[in-house]
Amino acid sequence: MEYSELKILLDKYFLGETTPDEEKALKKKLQDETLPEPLKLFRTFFESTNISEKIQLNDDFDKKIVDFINAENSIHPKPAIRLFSFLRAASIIILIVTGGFLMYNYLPNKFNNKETEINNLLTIDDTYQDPVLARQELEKALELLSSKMNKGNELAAQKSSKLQVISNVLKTTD
Amino acid sequence: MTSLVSICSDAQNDAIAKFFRQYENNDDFTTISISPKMFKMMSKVKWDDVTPAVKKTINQLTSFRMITTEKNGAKLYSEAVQKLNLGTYEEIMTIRDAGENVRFFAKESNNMINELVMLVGSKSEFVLMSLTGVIDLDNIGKLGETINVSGMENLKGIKKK
Repeated sequence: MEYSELKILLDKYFLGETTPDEEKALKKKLQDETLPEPLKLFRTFFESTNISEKIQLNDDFDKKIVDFINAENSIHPKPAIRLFSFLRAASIIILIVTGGFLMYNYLPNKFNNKETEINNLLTIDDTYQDPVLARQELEKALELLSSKMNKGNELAAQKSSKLQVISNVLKTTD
Repeated sequence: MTSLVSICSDAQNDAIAKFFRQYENNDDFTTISISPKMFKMMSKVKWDDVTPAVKKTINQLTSFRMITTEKNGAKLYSEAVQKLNLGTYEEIMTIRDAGENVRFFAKESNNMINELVMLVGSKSEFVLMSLTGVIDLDNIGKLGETINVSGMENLKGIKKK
């Protein structure tokens, strides 16, 4: 019975599942002189591991590990996270492009055909059915536009030359 | 983005379209409307008698509208300023000379003017002109130099709708 308990403890130990108390109990049991020979072999094993157990990790070791990890992170800033952000950005772009494409192509009339779009927006009924006549009248209208625009430019030029004269007068009187 | 731009210009064009619809059947008004379709047709007819500046300007336009009258100019001018929601445009030129107000408004995208609105108001004249397409102001300035006409004189021949 006691041996079976010892065996369970040994199994737990090699699986790394023992608590410090269980390890102590295990070592105690192994000291038992009545143990069968095969189990006694473990005694030597645990005697040799005692040495390594005495080596204690101090705070300095932790600090070294933490520093090492931080240094690693600053050199390679988490490639997994970078990849994730890249994929996220890429998927958003793909969504927008696909959405825009679908909207442009499948929404009725207004967005899918440039010509209908312009016609819809302006709802222009042609005054002239003859393109030559339309062009002649357009020319006249554009000439009016041009004359008004040039008038503005001329007035602006006159004003600026007047200002120039005034500033010259001011300069001479200074 | 295209849709957003369309929606915005939709609202604005609606304001101009409304104004046109309000007066286009009135006998006191003269209108010229040229649709994108007509611009396409125009590009296919003979261009021999046209100066390069005119040809270039017209080829880059996609639509044109003008409404003009010689009555109640000042009143219509202030009505248009109020109704046309011109805050969505950039005002590029204002001229006040001898009782006449002339204002130019433009909409730009990618450093190109793609909509131009001219508003003229005086006691005896009102003009609302709206152009869309690619609008080259330098080129438009040159149109007057070649033919040298001014004001309403050149519009006398326009048919009344």
